[in-house]
Amino acid sequence: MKRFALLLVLAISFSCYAISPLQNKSNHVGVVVIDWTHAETLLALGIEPLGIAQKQDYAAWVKEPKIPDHVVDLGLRTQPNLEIIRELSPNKIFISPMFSALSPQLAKIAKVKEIGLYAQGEVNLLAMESMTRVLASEVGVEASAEQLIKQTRNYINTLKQKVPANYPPVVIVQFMDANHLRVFGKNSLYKAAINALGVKSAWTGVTNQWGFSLIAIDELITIEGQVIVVEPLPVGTKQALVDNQLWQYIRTKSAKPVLTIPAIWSFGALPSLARFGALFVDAISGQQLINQGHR
Amino acid sequence: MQLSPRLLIIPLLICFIFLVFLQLNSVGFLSDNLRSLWDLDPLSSRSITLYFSWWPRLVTTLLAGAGLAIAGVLMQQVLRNPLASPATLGVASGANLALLMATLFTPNLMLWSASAVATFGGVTSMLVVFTLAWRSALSPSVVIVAGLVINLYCGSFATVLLLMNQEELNGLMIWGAGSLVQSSWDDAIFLAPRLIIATSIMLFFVRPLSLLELSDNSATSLGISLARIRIITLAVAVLLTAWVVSSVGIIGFIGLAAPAFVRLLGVKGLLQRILLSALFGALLLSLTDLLIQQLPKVLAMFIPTGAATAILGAPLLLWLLPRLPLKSQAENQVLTRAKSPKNQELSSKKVVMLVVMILAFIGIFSLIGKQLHGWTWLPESENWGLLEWRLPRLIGAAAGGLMLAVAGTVLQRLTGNPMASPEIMGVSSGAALGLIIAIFSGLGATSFGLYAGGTAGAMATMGILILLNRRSGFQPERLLLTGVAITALMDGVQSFILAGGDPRSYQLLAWLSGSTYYVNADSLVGISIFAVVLTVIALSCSRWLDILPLGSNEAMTLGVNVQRVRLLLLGLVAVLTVVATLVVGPLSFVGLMAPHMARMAGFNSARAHILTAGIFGMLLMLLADWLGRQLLYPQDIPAGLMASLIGGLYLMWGLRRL
Repeated sequence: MKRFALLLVLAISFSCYAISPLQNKSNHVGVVVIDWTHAETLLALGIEPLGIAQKQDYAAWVKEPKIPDHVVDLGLRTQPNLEIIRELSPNKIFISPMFSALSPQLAKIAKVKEIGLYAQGEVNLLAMESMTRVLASEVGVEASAEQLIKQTRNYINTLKQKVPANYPPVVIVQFMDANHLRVFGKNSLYKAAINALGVKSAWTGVTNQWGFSLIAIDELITIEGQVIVVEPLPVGTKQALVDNQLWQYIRTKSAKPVLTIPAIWSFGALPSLARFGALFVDAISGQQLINQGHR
Repeated sequence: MQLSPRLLIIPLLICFIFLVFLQLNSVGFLSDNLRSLWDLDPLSSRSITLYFSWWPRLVTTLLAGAGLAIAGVLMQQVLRNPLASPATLGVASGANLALLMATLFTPNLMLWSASAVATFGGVTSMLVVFTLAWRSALSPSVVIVAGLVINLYCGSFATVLLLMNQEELNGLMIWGAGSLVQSSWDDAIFLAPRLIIATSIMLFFVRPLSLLELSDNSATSLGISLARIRIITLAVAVLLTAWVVSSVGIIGFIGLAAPAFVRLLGVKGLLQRILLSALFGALLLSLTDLLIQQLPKVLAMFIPTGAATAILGAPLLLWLLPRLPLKSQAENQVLTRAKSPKNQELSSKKVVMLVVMILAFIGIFSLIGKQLHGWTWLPESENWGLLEWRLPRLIGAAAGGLMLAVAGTVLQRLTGNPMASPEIMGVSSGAALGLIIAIFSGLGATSFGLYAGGTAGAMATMGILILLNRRSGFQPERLLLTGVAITALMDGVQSFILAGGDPRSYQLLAWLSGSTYYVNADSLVGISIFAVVLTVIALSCSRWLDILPLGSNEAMTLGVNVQRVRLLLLGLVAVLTVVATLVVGPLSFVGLMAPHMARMAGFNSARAHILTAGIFGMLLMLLADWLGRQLLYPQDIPAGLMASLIGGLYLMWGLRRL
């Protein structure tokens, strides 16, 4: 009986080792993140948070870097579950300034650090790098941060080579429904990305703190630039647009065809920037192999 | 007031034509732009924009405004209530809910026809309202209460879906705010024949409809089948609303205002009222839309017209109120009394039993719950730190429930209107508006700033309520109408903010739904003291509250200074509401439900009513807070929403028994 118990204990301890795969790669610094931008940056830095808010929706909207299975779901980003956070006993909690109303409650559990990117000033590559450094210094992986920043810069430079010189301005949009779109400009991830690639944004109008402006579809006609649509399109919009003569006119009016890009997290940081850059360059290069008007 | 209708219509028409020409003249040549309506130039982008976007928008707006106004006239005629509007039967909220659910769970339906889904939702709400009001042969008061309950239910359900799926449902929020943007003639072509058919049908029924203004008995004795005419008319009104809502979204105020203005002008005949209201509604909506298009782009978003009409309409409605002829709502007295078949006495034994139940609830709910590893019994897991979160929320919920329930009971007895609740009076909406301003202007960075904003908003609302109602002696109907206008303003602002897609708006939405998330131990002591003290004050007013529902004349005969007492009670309700709002947020309909539940259980005297309503309110909020945290773990459903969903079912069941 005693031997059996000993074997059982040994077996369990070995299986525990087998269950947690990324242990050697990531540091367990005991942090909890609410915001997806922080989440994607930390995961890219090789840090595994104890918990992330809205795990399933992250998989649908942000996609990369993937969240490991054993990271705990904290519930809504707007009201993360305080009991779960308490049970996880983190050392630090990261939030973005726009949710500072949560601080008093969260401060009772662990130290709260507000790290902002959007609505803090101009959003560009430098701002994202600075945010990455701040985040990294909080968890003690400054070296990884520099590595990530350098990797991203090199990647962007490689992508920049593939963009034709003097590429005309583009306007990046996301459909809200068949008649309304978000058009991205100043202070958005997309403008930061295309500027880094040497392309200008055709939308110079006012944008809100998150870098977009809500417009009606007829305003799109007045914008001079190639239209880039970021997925996903809401249910039924794709079909509605096929029959929509206004949209067909917009499509055929410009010299350059309308391009569609797979889903990106529109309010992300370096990882999303790199991802968008890659998809953007893919789309541009792809169009040169396809005759105009076949999209 | 005998103004000729022409006096009002002609200036509006002139403004309309002026704005149309202004818009057409802004870019390019006026004559070319006019010609684009029938002669499309496929090479000119301006011509294309005008033909496919601007002209359809103008025509659709006119049709939508006319449709909503006609629906409003019909509803006000059948329900004999100047406050009835297309939203009264829950059409808009039903359509909204149907669209949300289809987008999330059955996207294929949306692919097939979004407008069919919306119409289905609207018609279903109507059928549910009819079912609830069937026994009373669709008596107006019952229909209105049933409609209110359905509105609240659909709204709460929709808010839960919205909170849990904010990214996916962003686009539907724009529809919800009523944007009239068009990109083809589809909507105009959809609405025009339907509007014509519906109006033609109604023209057949003008004669019997006019007779509906008489009381039920007189109308029946004149040979009209009450139920049949009501059903047909309401069905047409609902269909009209559903068609408009499904094509352009939720547009507030027009269906209420246009018929009200026409009545104000002294127009009597039903046929005239229908036609004039249609014209009025069309002009009002298109004027608003044209004006909005002239506005410069400041906010990095377009302004949805539906939200704008609701926001602009509220001050107009407030102006309109003192001039509306309001009949005494004697029927509502019948409704209030009819709900108490048995008469229960409140013995101290029962009170003790109920208090024990409350303590038991608090005990059980703080010790059992879902944690990281499933259902856990707290003493077993020894995670006593969690009580630091659970107890304040539960006690805060209970305190909020008590205060709102007491406020609701006092208000319902004060006004004699079963529709009255603290939220409907508008004070919580005012507090919410103050808070929104505080948050979005940056002052809301600290919790003190938030409290200050909320209190300021509530005070301002109280001021408006008192100012506008002083002359009428705080007559109940006008009091409630003022509240309705303020709540409509709040709804417009809320849908405007949600349409904008700002991530902060969802945090706001959670709070607006009645959330105990922010309750902490420090504020608990103060809140509990407030709750108990205010309840005691309310109980000491029981004598007045027993006398007032008898009517103001009877009350004065019995020696009650009606005006002063009403003002005092109003103040009490306001304080109760503001404190509860700052704890649990504005929109939890406990104040509407708890008094009804107490009534249905048979507690009629003022003292018993207040006490039991308070206790039911506490029990309901305790259950709601706990259930809200377990159902969709780890996501929180705000306690207020949960309370609406649970209590709403109870209310609907109770209504059926009427």
